[in-house]
Amino acid sequence: MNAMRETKLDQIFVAINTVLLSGILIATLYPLVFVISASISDPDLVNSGRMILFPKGISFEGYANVFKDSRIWTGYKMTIFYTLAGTIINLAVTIPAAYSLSRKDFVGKKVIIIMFMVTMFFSGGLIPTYLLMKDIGILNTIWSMLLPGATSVWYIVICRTYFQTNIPDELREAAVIDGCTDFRLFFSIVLPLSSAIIAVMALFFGVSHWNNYFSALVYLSDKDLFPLQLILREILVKSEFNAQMLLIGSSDSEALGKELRIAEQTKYALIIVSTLPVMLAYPFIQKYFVKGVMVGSLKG
Amino acid sequence: MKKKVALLMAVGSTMSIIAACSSEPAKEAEKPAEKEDKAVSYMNATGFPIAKDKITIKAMGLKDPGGTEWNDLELFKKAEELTNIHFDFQLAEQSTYEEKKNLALASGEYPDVFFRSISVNDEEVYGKQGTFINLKPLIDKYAPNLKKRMEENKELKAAITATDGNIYALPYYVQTSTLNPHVSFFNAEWMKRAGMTMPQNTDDLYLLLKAFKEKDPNQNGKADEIPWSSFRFEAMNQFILPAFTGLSGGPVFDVKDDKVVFTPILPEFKEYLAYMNKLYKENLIDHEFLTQTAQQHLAKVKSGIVGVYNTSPTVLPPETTELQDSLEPITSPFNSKKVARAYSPIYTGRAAITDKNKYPEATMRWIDTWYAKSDEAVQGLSGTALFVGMENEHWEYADPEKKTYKFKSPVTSFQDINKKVSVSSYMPSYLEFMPYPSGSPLMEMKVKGVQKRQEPYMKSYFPTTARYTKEEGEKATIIETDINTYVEQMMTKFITGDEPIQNFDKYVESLKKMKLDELTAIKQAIYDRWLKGKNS
Amino acid sequence: MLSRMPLYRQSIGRAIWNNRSIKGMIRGWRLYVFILPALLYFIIFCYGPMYGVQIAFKDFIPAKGIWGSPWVGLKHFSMFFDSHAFDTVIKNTVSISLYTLIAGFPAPVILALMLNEVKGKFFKKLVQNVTYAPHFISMVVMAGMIIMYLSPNGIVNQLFEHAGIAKVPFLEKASYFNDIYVFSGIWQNVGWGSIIYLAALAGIDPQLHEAAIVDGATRMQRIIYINIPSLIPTMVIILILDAGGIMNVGFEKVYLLQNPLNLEASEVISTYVYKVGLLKAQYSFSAAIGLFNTLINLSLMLLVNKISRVVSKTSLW
Repeated sequence: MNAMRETKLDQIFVAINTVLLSGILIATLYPLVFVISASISDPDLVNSGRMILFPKGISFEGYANVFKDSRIWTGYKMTIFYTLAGTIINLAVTIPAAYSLSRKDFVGKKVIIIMFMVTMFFSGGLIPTYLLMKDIGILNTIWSMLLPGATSVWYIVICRTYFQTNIPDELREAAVIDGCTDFRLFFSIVLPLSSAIIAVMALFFGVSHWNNYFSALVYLSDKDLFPLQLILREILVKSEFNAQMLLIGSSDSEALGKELRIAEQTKYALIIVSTLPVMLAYPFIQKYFVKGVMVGSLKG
Repeated sequence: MKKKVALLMAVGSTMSIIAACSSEPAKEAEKPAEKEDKAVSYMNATGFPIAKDKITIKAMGLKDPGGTEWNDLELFKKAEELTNIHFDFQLAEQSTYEEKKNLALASGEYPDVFFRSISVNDEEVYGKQGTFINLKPLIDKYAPNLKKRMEENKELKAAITATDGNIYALPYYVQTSTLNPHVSFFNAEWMKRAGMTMPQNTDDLYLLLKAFKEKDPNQNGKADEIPWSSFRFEAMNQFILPAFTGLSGGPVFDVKDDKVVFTPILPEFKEYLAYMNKLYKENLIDHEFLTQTAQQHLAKVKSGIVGVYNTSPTVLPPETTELQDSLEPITSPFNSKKVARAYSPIYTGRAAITDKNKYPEATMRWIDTWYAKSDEAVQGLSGTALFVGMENEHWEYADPEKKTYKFKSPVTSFQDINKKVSVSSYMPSYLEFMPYPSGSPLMEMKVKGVQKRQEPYMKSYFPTTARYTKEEGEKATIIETDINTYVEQMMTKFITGDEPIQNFDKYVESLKKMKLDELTAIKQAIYDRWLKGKNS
Repeated sequence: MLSRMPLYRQSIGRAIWNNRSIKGMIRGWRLYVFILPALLYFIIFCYGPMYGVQIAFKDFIPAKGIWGSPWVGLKHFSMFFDSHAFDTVIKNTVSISLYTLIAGFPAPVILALMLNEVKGKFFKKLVQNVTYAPHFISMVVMAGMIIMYLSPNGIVNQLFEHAGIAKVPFLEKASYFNDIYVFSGIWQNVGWGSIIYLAALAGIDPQLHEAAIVDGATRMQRIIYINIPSLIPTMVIILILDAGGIMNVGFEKVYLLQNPLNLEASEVISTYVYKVGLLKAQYSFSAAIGLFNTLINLSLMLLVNKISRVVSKTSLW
């Protein structure tokens, strides 16, 4: 906003708003700091409630446990690949589809949207899907990670709503008059105006790829293709298993204590390791939530 | 609009039907052709090597988390050398394995043999289909070790026999001193400081817990002691409930003189609940036992404020070892027999051979190696070796009476065994190994505690390996789930006092309305079947 | 869309040629190109396997495949309906879902509106990033943290003690379960959920706001008359979609937060199916319950969709 002086009422409003948001900030921040601290604290202190905010009994065994597994780096690499490639595919499939559905003159859109919606509710289940993947021949390949999630009805619908709200029909009429085809209209005008929704979709799809482990679990057996999440889960289960083994047959309570500690810390460390990259990505996406230079161009 | 939807669905289903028709898995399994001649020719019926020329068998197996590929393990390499059989292992870890196994079977792309994690349900379903072959004739001809074990222990046979009388999967038998579960360990030092002795019955226990609460036995000037803490009901069901009922199974179906009873409706159970309610009211048991996580419980124990706890004493610092002891089973005014739970040493579903296997006889012989006792071992390969490594190579006895053992470097622990030598548990094998690791007073105390205080009173309960037929299973499953949930809820309410104990009869009536009698009849039927299998 | 004239009054050929829809399709062929990838996707990956829906009506025997397994009609459904747990399980699932919907739906909207009014870039970015972080905490850790914080000696009760309020037995009473489940869910997802609304707010023509300021509108008034109306289409669509997921109370979180004391409020359909599956693995049974869920979801969504079409002129189709 331009430098306009706020009225008294508005100043009070802003003050209250800020206070409330600060409260929300603190309430949300606390558990996050807790997770970070717990990833390097003694789990007995954590679980008995004696570690409240700042780390106590500091040790980095949890992180060491996570990073000593060399597969973590292939995991990162593969996940970054799946996320980038997957998101590009997602956007290429979803955004144009949503645009078509947002056009009032799109013949058959009711039929198509209903056909899409049916799939939201009725699904054949894992076994037929697995058989399908096998028959197509993409089991244990990168395509089994990229194709089954190529789009989602939910996102298509949200995207369509955005287009319906923000891309006025007048734009299309003006384009027709200018002899502009749908293709040019879409790529040269609509897309640039939709940076906000594209950014949001990229974020949603990207995060869902980043967190995906189930497809990998079912369709992949080649370890080199495993995404980060799957490897992290294996690391966590391994440290818990080691602790169990020691509990059963151990003569060494120090080793047992160490394994238990590692297992607990790993739980928290995993969250940091797997989500830090995503958290860092958000500020970049935020930039795109800026309105395009748009509607003014019509009023003339 | 409705018409359009209908049309769409019709088109959609038609398309999917067409799609489906092209992706059908293999139909009915063919009965294996007579392989008698082949068996004689490709392998030796006794002695080693098993296969005359090297053969390869495909197997799927459950891998331990972070474990090594099985073909890289010493013991498996040795076995391959000895038997001339090479396994092509496709291993997956816990969460992945279940899905992969089910999908493999459902899609018709399954291997020659499955190792570990075969459920009773799998056996019944796939056995009937012929996907898992009947192992009975193979055991008879080619598994002398297993055959001997089955004769020595009738329960083994009963456990692995399916409802149609065949055998579709092989068991794991395990008896060790260290795998016995821990329950009712406590701080004996506190007992001494409070001037009390080992409790013999429920009244003694009550007084002991009271003393823990009132006499500040951890001597820190604060009344912070929790006399009894646990994670949910397991500990009290295992230790206190038997004092009232004389049965060791817990709040489920149990067996008295070959008759199946449902413990939670017995009058003794009512007394148990009343007793626990008393303890709860007087704050002698940790009120958080129902809500805390296992980790929270562990943290409490380690901070030295718990009297009787529900975890292994090996988690405590070594200085406190001599101070821990194990409670002996107690009696009550309603039952004068001391009873401790005897866990079944038998686990079913460790190996199944499929109809795709071209060499089932050789496979059976290979598996049979692990059912050998130490004195029957060929080149040191036996069930014991699978657990702890080969004697004098990976471990040796640490005392002349062979009561303890220690690992030989470079092996220092079970972790090393799992990394380099073997898959130490839940494989199809026979394990009876009583020595415990030397050099740990904690471990020694735990093992001795169990030997002295629990073994003399061990009593078995409803056989976990008794099986449902398909029809029985369908009826029983839903009823059982509902009943278990209700019992757990009501137990909680009676113990916390939310429900007055006078309403016990109403609760029994509700259970009967939930078809308890029908379920009891089914359980009796499967018990009788199991009994017959044992005695045949 | 369809021609108004009864078809028997024209020759079919002429009808098709003159039909407005056909003309529209030809003129707009490029739009079909846009939607082709999505169409292919759904046909191949969603309709392809859809024959599997019949598992719910069969006794699935893997070796026989889905087509070869015996047909049992509604057997699994009646097993479920007859079970003693049915009433409780349905009641809990529905009440948790409705509660989540009603309480959880407005929260991200409000947060987005509040954030939109913040002038300081740094503060705005800080709050946004912090509030969206909890979405990434795994359920296992989340549940463990909830139990720790709400324990009798956990931080919440410690704060209460300091403030002189009596301790609250959060984990011990079934009556608290819904509140705990819903509010921890809001905490975890409000930031993430607000993203879509922030994007929508970013799409508002700033000239509207400038004009309103010139007219002397307060911030509050601008929120009510400009911001909220512009969010309504998005809000409505999300509400309808949420209604379509109403019976899907996820398994993991409930299971981790369940304890014997709160079972009567915390046993939902997904945990029930899991427990049955523990006793005897049943593809068909869980498929049947899944289908049952789906039908309720579908009905509710159709209902909400119809209402919103009447009330706000926005609807799914």
